[in-house]
Amino acid sequence: MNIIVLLIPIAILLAATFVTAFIWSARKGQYDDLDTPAMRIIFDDETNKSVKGKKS
Amino acid sequence: MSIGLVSSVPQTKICDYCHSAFEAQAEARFCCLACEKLYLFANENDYRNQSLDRAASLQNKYQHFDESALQQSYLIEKNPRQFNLYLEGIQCSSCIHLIEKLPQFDDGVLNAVVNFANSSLKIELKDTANLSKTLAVIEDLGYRPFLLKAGENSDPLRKKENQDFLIRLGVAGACTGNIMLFVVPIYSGLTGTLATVFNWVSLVLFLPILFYSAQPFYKSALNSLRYRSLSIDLPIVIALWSGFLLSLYNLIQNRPEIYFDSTAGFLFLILCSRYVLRKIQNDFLSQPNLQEILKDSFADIQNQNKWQKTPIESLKTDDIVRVTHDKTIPADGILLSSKAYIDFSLLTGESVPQLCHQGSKVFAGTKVCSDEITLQVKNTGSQTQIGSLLLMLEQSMYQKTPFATLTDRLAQVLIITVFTISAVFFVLYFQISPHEALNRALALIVLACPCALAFGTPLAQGLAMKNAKRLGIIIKSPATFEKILRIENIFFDKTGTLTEGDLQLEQTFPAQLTDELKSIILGLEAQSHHPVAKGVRKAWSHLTPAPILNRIEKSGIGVSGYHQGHFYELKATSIPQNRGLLQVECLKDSFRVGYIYFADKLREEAPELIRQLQRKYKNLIILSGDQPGTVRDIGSQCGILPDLTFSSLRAEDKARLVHQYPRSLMIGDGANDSLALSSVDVGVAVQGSVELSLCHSDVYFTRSGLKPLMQLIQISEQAQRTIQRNIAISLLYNSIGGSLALLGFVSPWLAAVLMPLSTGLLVISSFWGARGVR
Repeated sequence: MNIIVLLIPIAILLAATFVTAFIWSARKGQYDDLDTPAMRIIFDDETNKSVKGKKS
Repeated sequence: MSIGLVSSVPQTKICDYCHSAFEAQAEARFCCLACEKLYLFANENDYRNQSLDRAASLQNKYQHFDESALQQSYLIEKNPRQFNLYLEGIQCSSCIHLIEKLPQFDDGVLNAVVNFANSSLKIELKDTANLSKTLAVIEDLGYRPFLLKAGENSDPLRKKENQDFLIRLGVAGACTGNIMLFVVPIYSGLTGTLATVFNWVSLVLFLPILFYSAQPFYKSALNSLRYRSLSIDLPIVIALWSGFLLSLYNLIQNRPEIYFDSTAGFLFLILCSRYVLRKIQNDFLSQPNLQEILKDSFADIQNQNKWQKTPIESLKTDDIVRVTHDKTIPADGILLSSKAYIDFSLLTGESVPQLCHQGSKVFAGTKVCSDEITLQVKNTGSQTQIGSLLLMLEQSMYQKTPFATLTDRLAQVLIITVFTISAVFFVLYFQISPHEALNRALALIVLACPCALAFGTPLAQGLAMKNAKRLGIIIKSPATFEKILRIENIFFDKTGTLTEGDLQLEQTFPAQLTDELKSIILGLEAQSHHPVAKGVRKAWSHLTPAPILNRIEKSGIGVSGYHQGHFYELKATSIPQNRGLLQVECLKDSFRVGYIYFADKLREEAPELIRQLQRKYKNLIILSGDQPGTVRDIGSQCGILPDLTFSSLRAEDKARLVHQYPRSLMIGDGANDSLALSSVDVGVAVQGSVELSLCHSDVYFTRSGLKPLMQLIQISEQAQRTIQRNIAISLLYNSIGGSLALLGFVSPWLAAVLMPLSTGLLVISSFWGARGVR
């Protein structure tokens, strides 16, 4: 059972790593706008170019 | 299924551009305006050039933003110049796609990024580019741009705040989750040294929550103490600290009653629901100031028979000022020119320019539509009508009393009750067992804390606001829901609210114009943005415009041009006595060949809506700046008695009338409504409102028409029902938990079970209560 002495710090360290990663991503602004990127991805410019190319 | 349907019946179609299915008439090819524009831009080469021409004609309107002094207050980043805009009309992913292609349409734009959630757009401009041109291009794409002031509303302060809140939430979540992991073995029967170690680890994990995540609560609890108004945050803070101190005391005493997990859990959940609400709450337009409304910082003053440029601030009474075509009048004054067409839309919301004769009053902020006018200054700065309106608006903002919501009032009662009970209990039980007395009294405070209340209300409000937003209703503050339910009187503005605000072709003289003449008229109006042009295009959409040479448009007066060697003119004249009809005369080589009459029609849904509302509310009242005849006419058309229609009102009159009826809602759009909008309990601005009233309303409709009003009432009722149900659930939970605590039955284990149970119930109840409104 003594292994638990080692496991507890590891568990907490792991949690701390993830929290740090989260803080980093939040500060980078990854959560600032959650709605627009989801819609932006629907249209990619490639298809538009092909439409343009066909007609002109 | 759609085979055999008549063409006018709506049917399911596939959009030519985005390939999504939509319901529409048979002729429709696109699901929305954005798709149509995108398709045209991609497939028709001329379309882009035409669009640039149209934009050039709109550019005048935004010219004042090119002045560097005014631009400074909007700049968020200097190199390259960055601006934030609020765009009216963003609805779907195609809109985002269209707007983010802005650099292709306007070569002055380096980058354009849309934020869909708050309908805002961030643009980066080249050094050489004109902001006015970009704004005009955006308007031509079909969105009405409003510049947002730097710092106040949006970036970067707001962004930082949101990020901070999210990080607090994340930290609380991580710590809570880990505390729960360490507590599980203890609940499963772990005892001895290891259990003590686990409890100490929980304590360590609890500290970030206590000192970092809970900070916003401390701030607002302190504020509520300072201003002696109890808010829900104060009991939260007390419960949090009681839970912490009790657990710490028991941990040191080596006793089993340790509540780190449940206390951390409730704080995390409250933070979650606050975050939901925060995310949905919209960024709103900042208050405009006088400078922006007057638009130009210099005026032409007559000085010893010469014209001299003078700063507007130094204008004095009796100065003679010259104002050229399409410029804004800098001060209130008397017209010296023999006649002039003036666009009063800022003050009245009326889109048709009015004819003014020599000696009549003209007002600051209105726009000159005829060639050039001279006027004698009477009032300047804050003495002008618009200046004093702004001043009064500012004052009314401060005078508005803060509204105590049901939740806040309940929290007040609850906290007093809980504290009294626990104090009485502590005193009585002290003789039996001092230790147990403290233990149970603190447990009562932790368990009976209105945590469910603090969690359920914002969640219900947030979901309702999200629902409302989907229907095109933007609500500034969650307290609005409760205010709407207390409404007894509803005030309507006439122009643009009860009526369409657009001109519709009513009749022509002679009754049948030839198709040739119609298509010439269409050709003349083809590129115009004037309401008349829109009305003509709508009425004769089946005809193709005739080619016109040398087309000249003079805003407010009309258009002219040559077709097959003949000179044609269209001139608008307003005849106010005649039921608000607008007369447009058509001249061929200076001979009258016909008249067209336009009227601002009552909205189709208005009579039915008013009938429904009349059953529910005491008084429905029309307020208008228009002529008595027109107003009474509109009133009788929608069933409002003449003694409840008020006409020829100025902004102050509207506000005064509104004050006579407490508990009222006002719906309007013009600048003359803004003062009334800010003084009623709930001010609603409809789509197409002027900036001034947008800024001073509580609710804003992004869809046209009055239908959103009914939906707003429905949503508010639904939200309030949900909130009440949530309150009932949480009170039940609080009283059960509280009595168990007093009886000494509460173990940490029971608390850990009770809390998610009540939360789960509240989440279910909130989502059930936020089912869609139609």
